[in-house]
Amino acid sequence: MNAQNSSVPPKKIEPKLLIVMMLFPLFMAIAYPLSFMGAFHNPAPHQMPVAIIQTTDNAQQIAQGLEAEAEDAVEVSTVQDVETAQEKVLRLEERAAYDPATGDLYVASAGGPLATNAAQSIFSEVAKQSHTELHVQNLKKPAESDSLGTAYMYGVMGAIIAGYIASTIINALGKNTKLWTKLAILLGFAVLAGITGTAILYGFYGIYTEHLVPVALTFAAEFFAVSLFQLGAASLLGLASSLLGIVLFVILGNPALGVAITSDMMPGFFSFLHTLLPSGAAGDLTKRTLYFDHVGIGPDLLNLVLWAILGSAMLWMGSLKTPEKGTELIDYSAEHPSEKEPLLTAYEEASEENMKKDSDGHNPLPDTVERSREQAPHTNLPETEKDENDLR
Amino acid sequence: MTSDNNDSSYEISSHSTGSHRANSRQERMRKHTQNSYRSLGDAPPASGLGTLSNPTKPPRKIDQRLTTKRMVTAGLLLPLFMLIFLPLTLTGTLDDVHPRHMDVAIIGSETDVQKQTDDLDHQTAGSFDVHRVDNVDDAKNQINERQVRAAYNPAEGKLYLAGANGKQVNSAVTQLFTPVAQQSHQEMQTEDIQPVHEEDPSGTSAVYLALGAILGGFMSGMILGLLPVDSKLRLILGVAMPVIIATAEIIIGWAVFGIFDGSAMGTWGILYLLSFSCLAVTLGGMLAIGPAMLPISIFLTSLLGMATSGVTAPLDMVHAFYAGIHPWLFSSQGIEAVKNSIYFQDMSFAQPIWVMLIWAVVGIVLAVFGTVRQKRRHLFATMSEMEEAQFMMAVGAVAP
Repeated sequence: MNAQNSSVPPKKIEPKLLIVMMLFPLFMAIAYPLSFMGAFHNPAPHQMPVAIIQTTDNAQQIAQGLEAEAEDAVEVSTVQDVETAQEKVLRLEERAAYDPATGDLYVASAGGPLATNAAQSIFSEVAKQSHTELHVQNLKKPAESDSLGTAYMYGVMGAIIAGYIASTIINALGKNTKLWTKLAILLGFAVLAGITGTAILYGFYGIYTEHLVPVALTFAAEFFAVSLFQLGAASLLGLASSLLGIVLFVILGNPALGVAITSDMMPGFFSFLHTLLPSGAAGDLTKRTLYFDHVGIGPDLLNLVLWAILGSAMLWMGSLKTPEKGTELIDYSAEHPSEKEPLLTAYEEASEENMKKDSDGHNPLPDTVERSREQAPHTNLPETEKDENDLR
Repeated sequence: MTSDNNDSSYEISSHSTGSHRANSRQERMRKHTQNSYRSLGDAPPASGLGTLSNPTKPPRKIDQRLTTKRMVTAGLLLPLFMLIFLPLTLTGTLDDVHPRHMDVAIIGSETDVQKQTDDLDHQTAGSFDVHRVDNVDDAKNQINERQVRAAYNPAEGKLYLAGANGKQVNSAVTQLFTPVAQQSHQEMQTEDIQPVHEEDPSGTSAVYLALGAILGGFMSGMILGLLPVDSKLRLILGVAMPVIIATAEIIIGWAVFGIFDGSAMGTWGILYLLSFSCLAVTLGGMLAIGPAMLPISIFLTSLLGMATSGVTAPLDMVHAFYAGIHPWLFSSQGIEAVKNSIYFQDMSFAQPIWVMLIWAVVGIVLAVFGTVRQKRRHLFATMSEMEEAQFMMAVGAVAP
């Protein structure tokens, strides 16, 4: 047990160090709005996938004309028939599909209300030019209480941010905790993330009524992937991992969620982040689970698994840095006198325990060095200046 | 058992004799008289972490493993808090969004439109509160002062609205008055008297600037409050950081993205006050109750502030809970005031300024209280030791 003296006064923090620390809130005050405004201040279609159904002879012409006029805003393809078009819309492969014969526009607003409205605006012009009246067929609307189709967004955000914070806290406060204990805590919290997220959305607000268990599993998976990555980052990078986590999961991760504003309404950089970061995968995974019968969740799951694997790899790399406490150390040169030390030898860290004064007030050498002196072969190396002069 | 004294740790044994107790106490007294504090100014700096220790208590042995377990358990309350309160607070702004007592007006004289006004008010009971205004100028003034969301002139079939109110509000009022116009066999026209800036079509950019100010203020308050900082330095940074933060937000909105133009002074002032109030509340709470203030501050500044600001979701389209909180919460008032300073400059800013000022003063009072309390504890601890030393010396002199 250790003795603690609470009557020892706390040391004042150095002003220079404090001023350096104040750079962190300044960084957040600048980076956060920069990132969010960069992503959201002017949402507009960007390579939005839309389709023209080949129900008329001029369908191809309409597609080419639209692509030429809209430039980067849309990526226009053609599909053979209405059934194929509807399937693609429900798989979120196309944002909208237009039937020039009837003026029907097939959309799924549950996939992104803002994007759906943008697609409607685009095709209302197309219909006008074709002297046709536009009829919007909404194949998948959000739940009645989910007016904007984005109510699950904060459940996803909560799971991601809590996952990052949980790992940061465990690493900061529980340094000596065993790895398996840390993983068990995170796993338990992941289960809790699934339960609390669905309890709020399904129970407290009663917004959703279907797919409760799959949605809970998505929240748990999102939490665990992020927390495992953060745990690994902390193991490898130490304190710097906190900044990395905030940048990845909050500053860049929140805009890249792709729920309120979908990836085809963001600038290219954030659209790319949406495919790369776990928050993008998390938002898409939850949306598809909730509204689209888990269609196309493979890439999202793979994304989360890859981030978890990356975290595990960093955990392993971090474990190579220093020996664990309590590990038995050996004096290699004493036990293998004719061999060189192996590459990448892990040495014991110098610590207070190693350098404790003995009862005479001398600093004893670590036991391993002491043993090596006793066991090493005798040499004629001079030990004092007098000996040096004698040898000359 | 003998005590194992060294420069930094002491041990108290439950089986020691009276002479051993006297010896260890004299050791402590000698050490403390070397570091004695004569006034509050001499006492060590206060901090959020300092609220967790009590210098008047004698040193004790600790169980490191159990301590770590407790600390981790306490620390994990923060992610648990985020798991629950982030979705709980903010999801309500996305749940069942529809007009709830949204104020709108019909333009015309009492004889011409009063009946129409009363009928529409009756038909839309609960969703819209419809009243009459005399003329177009009055209607525009009320829209600019945000007393009404829109005003319809049946004589011209024209709907006056403010694009800066957001698409949800404008969609709702358009849906309300379109059938009214159709009943009069008129094609409704709309006039946007307060459009959003071209680079800000959704009208939400001001929210992100406000959030930057909140985050900067909150984190500054957290660092200044948690760590043992000299009081003067704390004061200087507490005033200076919001200046830097507010300036940075203006540069982002006006220069970097070029979204806004014109004078930024008013917005700067609101951003400063918002950042300062967040800093003061967080700092004061930290010094008063310690790290437990962290989740409270996150809740008051970011979560509840965002949800009840009326900018992310119109307050007259979500649950009444949010509208109820809005008038008295500093972060909520500040976020709305930042947007209003850009788009609705005719409005009175007295309420948000007063609310933010009052909360800032509360935070400062808490900071002073927390600082004085901690410093007094150190002072009390050393004075008690000195009094004991004086007594023991007197006894020691008399006893032989």
